[in-house]
Amino acid sequence: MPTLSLAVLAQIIAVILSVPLGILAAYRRGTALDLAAVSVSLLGAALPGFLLSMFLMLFFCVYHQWFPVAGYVGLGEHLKYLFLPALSLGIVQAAYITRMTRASLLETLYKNYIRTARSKGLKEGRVVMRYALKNAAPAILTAVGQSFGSLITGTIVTETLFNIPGIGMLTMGAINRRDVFVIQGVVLFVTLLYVLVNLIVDILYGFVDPRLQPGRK
Amino acid sequence: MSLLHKNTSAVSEAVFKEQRQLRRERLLASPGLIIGFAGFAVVLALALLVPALSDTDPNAMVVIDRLKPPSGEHLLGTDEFGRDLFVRLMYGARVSLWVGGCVAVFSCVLGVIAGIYASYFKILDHILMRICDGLIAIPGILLAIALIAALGTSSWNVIAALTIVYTPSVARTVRASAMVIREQPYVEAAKVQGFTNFRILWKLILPGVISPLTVQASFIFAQAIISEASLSFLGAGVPAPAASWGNMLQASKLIFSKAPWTMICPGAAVILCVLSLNLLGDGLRDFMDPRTEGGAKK
Repeated sequence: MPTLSLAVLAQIIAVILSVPLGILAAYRRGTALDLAAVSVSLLGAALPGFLLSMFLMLFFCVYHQWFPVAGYVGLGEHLKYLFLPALSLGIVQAAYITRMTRASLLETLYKNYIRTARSKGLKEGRVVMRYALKNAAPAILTAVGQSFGSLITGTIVTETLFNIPGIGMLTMGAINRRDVFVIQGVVLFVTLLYVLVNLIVDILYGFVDPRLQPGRK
Repeated sequence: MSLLHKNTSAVSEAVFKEQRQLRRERLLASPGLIIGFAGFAVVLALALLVPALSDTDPNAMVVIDRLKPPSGEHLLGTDEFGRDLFVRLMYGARVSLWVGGCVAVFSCVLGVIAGIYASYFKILDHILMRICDGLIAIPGILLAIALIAALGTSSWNVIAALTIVYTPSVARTVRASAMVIREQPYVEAAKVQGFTNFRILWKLILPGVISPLTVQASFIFAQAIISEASLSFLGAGVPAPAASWGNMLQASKLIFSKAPWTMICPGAAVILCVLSLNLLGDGLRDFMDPRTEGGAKK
């Protein structure tokens, strides 16, 4: 449960940060904003998750004391403790999703139907949101699905660092005790989760893009 | 006849010259490639030259000097045992680059062998690709941790574990590009002429696979450095007294509120190294395939 809420919160943060940023970067291609988005996402890709967590801890907990450094309480106080680990996981994932969003949206923005929509006199916002984004959505969804997979593993390191008693802590404890059965169990469980998320993404394709529905010609 | 031949060779020479010119322009037009190469070269040079530059032992402890902030004597300060951080950082670079480089080379060699044979022989394809599917389904770090837990911690085991993690993705990339080349007319012509399978695979198909492979190798290098740091951070990497960036970060975990430089320096080193490798990979991809954005389109 702690792991799941951590992963879900991190994913929400990642999507909130990355999708709008990716859209803006693609729409204003070549401007300072685009350059900033690309460099931030490059930097995010170069950061190991635990390093970002340590930087965040140093800044938010040691220098400013806005958040508790580590630990985990039940669901009520939960969010305050969960925010920093989720943020550090989310930012790393956001870097990847931003890049994918930007790339796939850039591709669709140069398609003919976008030009048609523009020449029809539709508003820019509608063109980008309804016409371009809808067609770029499958690629973005793939990125989100993949990042969820790496998120689950990312929690292992983050949980040990922030002392959250989830699957990650269980794994680390088992490794330190050379408890092979627990390790096998965790690997099996996480792999199952990974495959399950991929399945959900595959099913969602059909909703996002009806052309990809199976059995439709 | 000879005149025609002379003309065509002159024309082709002119075309070659123009291509070379274009290539040089593209190289200069991609700052990422140059920055990435420069950054990586600096790290590599420091890692190789450190025994010549400084005679400080990276593991020598000076208890009086523990947790000293950066100063003239200790360029980046000292850690909790009074070991000089700058020297340890450089020796850590050797470990990280060694592990990353070995993983990149080994997984590429294994991936090429698996991928190229899988693209050519149907039965082998089914077997190898199912194995790859299985390995890819297990999240990378977790697989590496499980392997190291079984094998024990040493730098060779880290290399072996990470090679197993990254080989399937190389094999997939190689297989995908090799499948395209396999259908080319010149491969068919070679088959008709009775070339051996071995010769077709290594003389005709391999050259076409090299360019996507180089790009992927640079990304794997970067990923392996991150993974090595994460593994060492978790205590499942290169064993303790040796200086590695992950070990240094792990040691700083308990003391970084008092001595932030023990965390910031190795952290910055990891970021610099991985960032330049990523830039290098991106730049190489744009350079080799001008159709992608950032290349000639601008």
